[in-house]
Amino acid sequence: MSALDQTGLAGDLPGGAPPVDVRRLRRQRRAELVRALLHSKTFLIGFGIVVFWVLSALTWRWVVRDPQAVDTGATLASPSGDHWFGTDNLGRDVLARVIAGAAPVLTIAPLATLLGLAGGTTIGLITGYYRGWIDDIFSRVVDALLAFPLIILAVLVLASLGREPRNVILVIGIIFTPLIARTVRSAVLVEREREYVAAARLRGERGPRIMVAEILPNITAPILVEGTIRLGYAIFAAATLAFLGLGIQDPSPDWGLAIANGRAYLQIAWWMVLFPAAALATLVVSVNLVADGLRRAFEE
Amino acid sequence: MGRYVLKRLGLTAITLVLVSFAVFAAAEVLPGDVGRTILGPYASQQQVDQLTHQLGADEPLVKRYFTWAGNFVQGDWGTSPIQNVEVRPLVLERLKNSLILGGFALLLIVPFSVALGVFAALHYGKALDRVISIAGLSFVALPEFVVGVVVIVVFAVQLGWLPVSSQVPEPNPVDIVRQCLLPSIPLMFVLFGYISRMARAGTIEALRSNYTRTAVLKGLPRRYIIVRHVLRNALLPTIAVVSVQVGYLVGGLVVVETLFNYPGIGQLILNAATGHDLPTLEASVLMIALIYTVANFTADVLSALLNPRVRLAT
Repeated sequence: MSALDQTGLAGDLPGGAPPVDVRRLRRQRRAELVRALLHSKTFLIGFGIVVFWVLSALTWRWVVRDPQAVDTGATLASPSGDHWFGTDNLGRDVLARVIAGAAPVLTIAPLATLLGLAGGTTIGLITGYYRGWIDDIFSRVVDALLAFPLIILAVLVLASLGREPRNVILVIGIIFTPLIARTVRSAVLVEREREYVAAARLRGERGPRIMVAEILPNITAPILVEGTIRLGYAIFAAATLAFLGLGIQDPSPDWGLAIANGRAYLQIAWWMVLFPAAALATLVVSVNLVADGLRRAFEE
Repeated sequence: MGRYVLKRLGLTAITLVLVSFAVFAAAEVLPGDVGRTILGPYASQQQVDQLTHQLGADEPLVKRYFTWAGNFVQGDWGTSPIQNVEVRPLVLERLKNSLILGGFALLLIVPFSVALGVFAALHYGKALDRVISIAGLSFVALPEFVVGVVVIVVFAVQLGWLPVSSQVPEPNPVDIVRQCLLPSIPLMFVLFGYISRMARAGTIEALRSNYTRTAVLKGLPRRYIIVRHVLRNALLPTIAVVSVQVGYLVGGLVVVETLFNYPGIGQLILNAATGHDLPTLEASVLMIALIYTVANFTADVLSALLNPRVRLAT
């Protein structure tokens, strides 16, 4: 959409273009986007699996048995009619724990991503719009941060702050902030040279208003794609930290934690690790497929 | 060219100094008292204070940094208060073990990923390209411990071909493969995704360029164009990605070494961080930063050597 459509001035200009119905244009664009997404098989598969896990996270209470219930008669029982996925070393039902295990990871990862998006979008808008010294400092900080294996950074911070879920969200969100800011910044760098920004400046709009009301609505596509990609990484990171014993703790049915616990029983009870592993794998891969589908749809 | 290398070398040195301070500061803010950690919960506060003073842990941070950095440069890396051993031989030994494992993974996966990435680009838009791209996209997303437990269950437990936990290999090819193959598979999954994607993107860009079109219109044979024009330009960004992946690799090693109980530097860092073993933590994280910056420096110089636009610029 051009700058004039947004200002609503187009119709008033003498001899100018006929008024454009912005709402209709927007609807059209949205319909095109949905059509492109529905055409992509990989997107649909990924989306379906993500929906399945989201539903599991929301409804496991009513669908499966209690993930904490202990069947003392059947510890480390292999998959059977009674326990489809077998039981763990305490006699807890693995199927129930796998379904319920979607909840912790789908709480921590989206919250961490939202935190990173909020911080990253703010910093990206400011550094991209104002440039100058603030931008230079920011770029140096990002370079230095990237010179560090991020998981080691998280290990250092969690070892000092304590291993509560809140800290896991904070650590992942803070590490994501500069990474997301970099993407937002490069999108802002393109937008700030457009006519509608110049027009807004001429109208006397101030920096903050231009950033939020003019530029931000025009860069939602790259932000959405970046957010989805980051969500995949957040799941990856949260699960890895739980596996290392630095994230969420027992008796949570979290998948990373379940795999860490199952390690000791690898030789006798493969079901304790393979089912949570498969759950985690399907979730991260399908989030990535959704991100890829969105990116392709926006590019077209 | 000489000036370029010198400039990069200077920047590398500055980065290292900054990182060393960050490492030191980050490690020192870990809560817990050095004296208390060593003496245990039953020592009196007076004893703890005395030991803390003896160790110099009550000096200001900047002063302690310079003492530490000075000793470090001179080869005195201190003693681990937890394990009661000299830090330097411990860290270097673990580092060597990790280099064997990480080097093995890189050596196997880099040529393979580059080849598949270039292959996908040459078949751009066809089914094979989609398969390679989606495989790469999915592999990147898989946490190392997920792939790790699957390969352990399949190849070590069920088939019994390889050991469940890996020891440091004997210096012969058979044992290196035996000990390193399983733990390097999870690393290779992630590396494959990144490297093949870059190789593919680089090749596609080079294929679409004007110089490639000129070469085609000149009637040069396709093989010659791909080797001389496309690959030479396509692989430059790939080198940069491989060097960045060295940083990733260290993070991956933390997970893989924990899973396979392999005595490398990743496992050492994790144990030192959770066990509050500061000298070991600082020395090992600093070594990681050193390796990473040296890898980046090498990649920059290598790219410059291969790229006449950088090589010939003054």
